[in-house]
Amino acid sequence: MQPVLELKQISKKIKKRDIVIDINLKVFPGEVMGFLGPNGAGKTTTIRMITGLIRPTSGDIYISGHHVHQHRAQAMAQLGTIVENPELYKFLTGRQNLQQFARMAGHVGPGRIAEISEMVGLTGRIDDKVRTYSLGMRQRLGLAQALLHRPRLLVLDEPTNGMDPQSMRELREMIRKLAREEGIGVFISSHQLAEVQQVADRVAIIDKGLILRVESLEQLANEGRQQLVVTVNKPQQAATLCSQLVYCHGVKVEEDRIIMELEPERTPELVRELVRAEIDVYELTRRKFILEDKFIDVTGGDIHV
Amino acid sequence: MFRGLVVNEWLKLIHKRRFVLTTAIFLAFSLYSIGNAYYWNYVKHPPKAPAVIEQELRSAITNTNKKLATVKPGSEEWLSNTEYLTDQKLNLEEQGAIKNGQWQVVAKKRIAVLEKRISEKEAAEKEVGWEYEELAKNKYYLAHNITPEWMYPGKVGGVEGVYSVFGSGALLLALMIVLMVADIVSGEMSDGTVKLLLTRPPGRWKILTAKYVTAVTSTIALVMVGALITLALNGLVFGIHDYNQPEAVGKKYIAKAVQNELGITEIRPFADGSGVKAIPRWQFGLAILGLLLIPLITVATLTFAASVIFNTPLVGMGLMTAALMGGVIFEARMGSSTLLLANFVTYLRLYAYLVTGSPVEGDPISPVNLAGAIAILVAYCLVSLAAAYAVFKRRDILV
Repeated sequence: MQPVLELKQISKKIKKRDIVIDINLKVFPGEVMGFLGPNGAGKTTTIRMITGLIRPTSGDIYISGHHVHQHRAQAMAQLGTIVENPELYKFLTGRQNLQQFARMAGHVGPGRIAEISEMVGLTGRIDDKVRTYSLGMRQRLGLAQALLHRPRLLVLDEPTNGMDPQSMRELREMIRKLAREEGIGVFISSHQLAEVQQVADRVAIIDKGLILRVESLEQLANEGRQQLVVTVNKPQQAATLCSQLVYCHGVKVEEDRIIMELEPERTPELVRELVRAEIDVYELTRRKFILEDKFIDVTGGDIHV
Repeated sequence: MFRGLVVNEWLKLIHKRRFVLTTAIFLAFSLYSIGNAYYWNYVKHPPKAPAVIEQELRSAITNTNKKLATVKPGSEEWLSNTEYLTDQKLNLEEQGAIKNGQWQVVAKKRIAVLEKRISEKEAAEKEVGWEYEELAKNKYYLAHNITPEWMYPGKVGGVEGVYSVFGSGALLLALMIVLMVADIVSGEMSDGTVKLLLTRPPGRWKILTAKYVTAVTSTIALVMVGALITLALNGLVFGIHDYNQPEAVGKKYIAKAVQNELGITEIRPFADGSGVKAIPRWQFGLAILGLLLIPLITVATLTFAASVIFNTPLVGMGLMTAALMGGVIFEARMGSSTLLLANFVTYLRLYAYLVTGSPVEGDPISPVNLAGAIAILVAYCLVSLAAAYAVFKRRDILV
């Protein structure tokens, strides 16, 4: 099957600094790929290269087999995107905005604008100026402009920034629907795995411009290690105590919490030890780290489930 | 597809209310000019009764005759007073013609007087200027059987008002164009909407060309709409009866070495009337508009380039405003300088080539002719466009 998006050895240097190094990626029709990495990892730069906003220093990008720079028109005809915030023409109405993009696409039928407004739930406000829209409505209009010309590839850069939970759920449902029913390939960036895991089939993890790995979500979940996070009143004392216990590993202090690895069945035992030492326990949670410690150190534990 | 891109740009311009705003500002200026013309012609200098004018002319003639008796015949003063006397006598005859309608007789006499005066003055190597223009106008009245404007005393022409507004409003129009064009690219950069534009099938050069076409066409439209509104307003207030009155064009100045009163040789501008001819006022107005459009399109092009090169609209707008105001101040201070001829702002008065052969107000002798001036403006456009396209084509969009 021909990938809907293919990155071949993409690198980008800005002012002699490596922003993105030698990225190879493929997204197939009907597939949702999460693009995960901390802020400053090179996500936005990669997305801007895919969308033709910046030129790679080296390497080639293909959308549905069309080279983004050599066959720009064909490639862009297959692309729908929201890069960062959906910045639209505020002095135009929603409909006038969509008409602008329809004129640029060239092959958008007369009923399509009404259809897409219905789909994103903007029908009632489509003739109002975008200036009067809420952030959620702007995001929906952003999605409408991205899907207007029926692209084969949808590229979304941190689409849920500033979205309320309801809109987030709707967006996820729509993305899944587009992928399953219309076979659109979706490339969606985020700095939170929690967000991506609910919608993505595969995840590419990027840090410092390097793709660390590309895995399916199941694979990632299976190899994760359990960690226990305990919120206490005396974290230092608790940490000293825990490091003396043979079944606790890798004890760390994080503000008023201690974090360690231990078998789930040893948890009651640990709690009893803490109580005996007159340490007050406020909260106990489990979390699963899916990435190697090195990466967590770098990203400050940002990426977790 | 390309037409769609231009339509898009025009819609943005209109919905940003730029076109309406700039037209409104120019309209306000135009209204002010009409009010000023009305005040000048009807309030401050109300039309005088024919009897009063005749009385004034008669006493001027009497006074000049008295004066002539006291000065030495053939002297400089005697010559100028004789000239004045002849003119006043002709003016008195004009008053008669207003009553009996025989303007042709006066025009013919005037032509004879002017022709004699020109040949005498030229033989004496004295400057001849407006005489050529008057001659051409009077010949035009007779050749085309146009009743001269002076046959309708106290009646101001509305067509003349249009191009005088556009002449004096060239700088204002340039500033309006800066206001209209300054954010055409940089506005999309600062609003982030450029990302919506450049992730579409049309390539960057096409989008930029659509924007440039919009900048130029909106400049032309602003001038056209402004001209029509000004013509309509002037017509309503003053009438457009003067549309076929002649205007003299083609006077030039040449540098001539002459000895002044102290016997020192100096270079003076001498009017060269050989190319002077009269054209009807409507043609003259169109010629002025056309010659105004060339520098204004240059301003639009430079503003456009600034909008591409600088990512914030304020920088482009500030630079262009500074260039225009600076250019005007520079011209006022320098008066005449060859440096002025390299500055595009000087050529806002490109229309002055029609009547003086030079765009510089303080210096009627220009080493650059009209074709040269247009070539300079075209060079400005080409260089700035080349820079704009080169920058935009390869720029990484990081906003």
